[in-house]
Amino acid sequence: MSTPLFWSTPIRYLRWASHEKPAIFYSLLIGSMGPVALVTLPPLRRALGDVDPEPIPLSYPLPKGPRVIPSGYEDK
Amino acid sequence: MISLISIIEGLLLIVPALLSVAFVTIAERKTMASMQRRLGPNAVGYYGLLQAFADALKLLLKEYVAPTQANIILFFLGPMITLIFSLLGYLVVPFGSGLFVSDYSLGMLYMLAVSSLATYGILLAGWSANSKYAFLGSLRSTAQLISYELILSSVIVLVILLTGNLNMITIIESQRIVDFLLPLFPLFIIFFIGSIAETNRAPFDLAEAESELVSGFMTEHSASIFVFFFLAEYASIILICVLNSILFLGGYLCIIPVDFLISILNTVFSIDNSILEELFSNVSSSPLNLALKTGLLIFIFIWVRASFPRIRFDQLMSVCWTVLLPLVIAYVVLLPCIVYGLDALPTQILL
Repeated sequence: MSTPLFWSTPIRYLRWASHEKPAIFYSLLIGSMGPVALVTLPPLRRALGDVDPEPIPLSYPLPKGPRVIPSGYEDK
Repeated sequence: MISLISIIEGLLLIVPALLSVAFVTIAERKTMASMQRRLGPNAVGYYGLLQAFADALKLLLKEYVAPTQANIILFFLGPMITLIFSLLGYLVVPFGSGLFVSDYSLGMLYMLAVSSLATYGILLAGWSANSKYAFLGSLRSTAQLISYELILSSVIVLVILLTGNLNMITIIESQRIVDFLLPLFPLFIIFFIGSIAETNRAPFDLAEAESELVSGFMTEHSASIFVFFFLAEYASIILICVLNSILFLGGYLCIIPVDFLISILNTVFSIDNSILEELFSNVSSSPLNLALKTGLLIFIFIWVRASFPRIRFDQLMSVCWTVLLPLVIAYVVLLPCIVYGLDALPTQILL
């Protein structure tokens, strides 16, 4: 039996690859779970009750009131 | 005064390290003997315990022979470099809570660097001996060490991803809740295989395959210079087992979560078990824990040596580059994604 081709018989190719090239096959499998985890884990985490932390402040908080510009000398 | 204290500190570290090297050689010979249904060394000292010292004495009293065309300086410098760099790694090892020579913030990086430099000793010794066996042995050894170092350093990077720090103590203390063995079990297996290869141990001891290369890179080395290689080999075995324990088995932390068990006891029986707590507070981060874990790993090293036949050199290389490396790269992709997805990135990255 000839080596199966991925594009024509994908399932048979995957079965063949898992037997003949197990390290590459399972590496690709494990590695491809990474992006999947990236998409599926945050909603799962939130569904289990974890709350997102507050975003890190990137500047000092601006005062809400009108800005008072000092004039003259303060010690007078 | 400070220099005297540092000398004493150094001695307190190096003497037990060398003694443990001596006893590991006996342990190896006795263990392998019992696995092969023979007695092993049993003549020198009680139960053969002083055999290593008798061997060392014999080697030190022997006349050294150097090949006529050898580069004498490098011939002697090679083993010295190997031994010095194998022993330098012990500097940053935390043996117990607060029991270390240096609490270096880049401890893991230092250990990687020092273990890489030991390769130069092997390369120099093999080349300078002017013997084709030694040269081939050193080339094999260097290729092997450089290849497997990639695996080890990649796994270490993944552990650092979880701890956010290169300091050994931080890595150990990060495992108070659970040892990294549990979440990173496949990586522990890969790291352990890499450790066996990195220390040139059977079944990866192609550098000193006696059926092909007489004795590999140390073919021409004899007497006291051979002792240097011998000590370096076993010192690096112990060191890498310590590293395994620190990275995956929680280092000096107690194997059994005693604090947790005592708190459960207290809750269930609603008593204040302060005597038990006091008793186990010393055990919870005692150097004995590290010794126990390291001893177990050394036993597995010996067990592997007694069980598996030596593989071919091309198989050794292909295992590294086509089996272990793709798997490690897969985990390099997967693990950061999981950590980021769970929002569990370490908060303090002090590199």
